[in-house]
Amino acid sequence: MPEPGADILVVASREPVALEVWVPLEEAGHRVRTVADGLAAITELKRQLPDVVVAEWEAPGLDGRGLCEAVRGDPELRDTHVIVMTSSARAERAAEALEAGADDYLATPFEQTELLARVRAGRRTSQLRASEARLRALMANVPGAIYRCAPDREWTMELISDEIERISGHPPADFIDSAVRTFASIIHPDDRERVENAVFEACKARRPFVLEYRIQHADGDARWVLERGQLVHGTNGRTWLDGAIFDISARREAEEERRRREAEQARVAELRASRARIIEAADAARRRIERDLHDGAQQRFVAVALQLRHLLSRLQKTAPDAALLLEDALDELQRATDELRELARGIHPALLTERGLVRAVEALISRLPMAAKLHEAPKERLPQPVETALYYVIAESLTNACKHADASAVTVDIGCAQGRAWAVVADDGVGDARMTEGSGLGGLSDRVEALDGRLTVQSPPGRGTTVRAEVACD
Amino acid sequence: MGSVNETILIVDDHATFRRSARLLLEAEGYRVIGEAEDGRSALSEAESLEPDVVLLDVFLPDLDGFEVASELTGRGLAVVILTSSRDGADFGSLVAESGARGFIPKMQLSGAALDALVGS
Ligand SMILES: Nc1ncnc2c1ncn2[C@@H]1O[C@H](COP(=O)(O)OP(=O)(O)OP(=O)(O)O)[C@@H](O)[C@H]1O
Ligand SMILES: [Mg+2]
Repeated sequence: MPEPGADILVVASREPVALEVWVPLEEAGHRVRTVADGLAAITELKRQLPDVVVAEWEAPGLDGRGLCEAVRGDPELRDTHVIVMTSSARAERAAEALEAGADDYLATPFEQTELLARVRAGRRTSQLRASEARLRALMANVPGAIYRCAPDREWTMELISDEIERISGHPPADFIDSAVRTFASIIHPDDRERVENAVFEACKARRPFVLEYRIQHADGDARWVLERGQLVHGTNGRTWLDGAIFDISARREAEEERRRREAEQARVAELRASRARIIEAADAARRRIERDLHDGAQQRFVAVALQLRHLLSRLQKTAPDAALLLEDALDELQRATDELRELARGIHPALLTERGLVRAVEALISRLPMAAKLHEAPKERLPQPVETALYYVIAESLTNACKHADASAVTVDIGCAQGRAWAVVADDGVGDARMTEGSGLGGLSDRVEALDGRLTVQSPPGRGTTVRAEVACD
Repeated sequence: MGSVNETILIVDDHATFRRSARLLLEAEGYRVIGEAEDGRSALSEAESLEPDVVLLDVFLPDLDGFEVASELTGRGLAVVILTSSRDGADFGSLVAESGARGFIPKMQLSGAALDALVGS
């Protein structure tokens, strides 16, 4: 396959020489520019870099030596492939030319085939240089440290890109041939063995490896890195590890932060659940005590009252004096039963369990010594812990409205939608209520929070008080 | 006592209450013709015994007292008087809505209290 033509700059002061070079190159398909002296050559090089320069050693203005030195001294031109033509009569020129920085020389006179061969070789070199330059640029721009190192326990570096300085705080030169420090020495001591094992195992299995480990930055902090690499076979039987190291500290930190947050959330949820369980257990105990009072003592009192009343109807005819005494006893028993009933209700409102929140709140309102109204209320029953929490909030708020608010009216709203249930008690009284720790309302926030809820009190002075409890309800 | 010979069915899950209520009411002229300890047997007893009055506890182990009351009154089986050891205020409008004639707290139960509601 014929190679596509190369860009060639010919520097020749004498017409015949120029022709001698120019013609065969053009015929071979190359694009040739010609200049007469070294200075013009520099200008032309700067205008557009050719693949190969073919220059006379002896030239007016800037000669071959000057041209070579100028090219090698300019970072932009440095990689240009320069072939110098020297007279075969003066063999020492060749050495001089190479010394001055030429890549190659052609002894004049030369065969066309030799010219073409030298140019072709020169062009390959310059292509190689260009791709090497690209590789270097790539290495410098990849956001990771690219390395080649020996598969030994020190990870002796053959090369490592500049990024390692940003990652580790140490310049790359420190690691080359382990001049200042070994790469192994900056791996976190707790991770060293793991890294070694993982890499050697992957090498043995002829697999690439990917691992994450910590390195110790020069500033003393640990950094997390991700390393990918694999064993490669180089020339003369040597093996290398080629790979790249990326700083993933930010990602790791974000992950750790997320884990911490999740753990914290789980802890909060567990705490809340355990609070809810404790409250549930206490409520269950209260329900049981209320039941026992109701089914036990209270029923006995009722039975006794009925029996006494039975006795009374007889005594009224036969022994009116005794009957009067018995009537007093019945009154006393009535009061005792009322007290017991209030006590039982205080322990747990049985109506709440048996007939639900709305009914229980209606009963509360009917006993209230002030005007109160239940506006909105859900038709369906809510889960028991939800009903209980909302009931206690409403009961306490209604009691407070009577005790402290000097209000003319109080309203209650109960609602439930989209996994939340709430109760709002609002009065038009004096306001300025404070939720104090340990007292009535303050004590209820625990109960509300245990259901992933919030208890809020809005009570601007002179503008009434609104207590709102909202809890999760599913 | 205007209620002499009125027949009555006592429904309550507490045996002591049924016993003392029976003694009291019988002494005051009612004929207690049956007892039931839950809602379902109350309905079947009422059907077969055809009492004039059913004294019905609000809290029953199986059915809700108010439901039993509406069933009984809806079918015209008897006059229903609800009773409970709890405060009547707890039940608000439920008593009236159930079709029951009235409510007597258990502690206040007597032939006279019953007469006052049944006679009205
Ligand atoms: N609706 C209200 N209007 C005006 N002030 C109120 C109202 N509710 C509460 N307060 C004020 O806020 C204070 C705190 O109320 P909270 O219910 O926490 O305690 P308390 O009622 O004083 O005591 P406890 O409820 O334990 O018997 C009350 O002492 C009262 O001064
Ligand atoms: Mg209070």
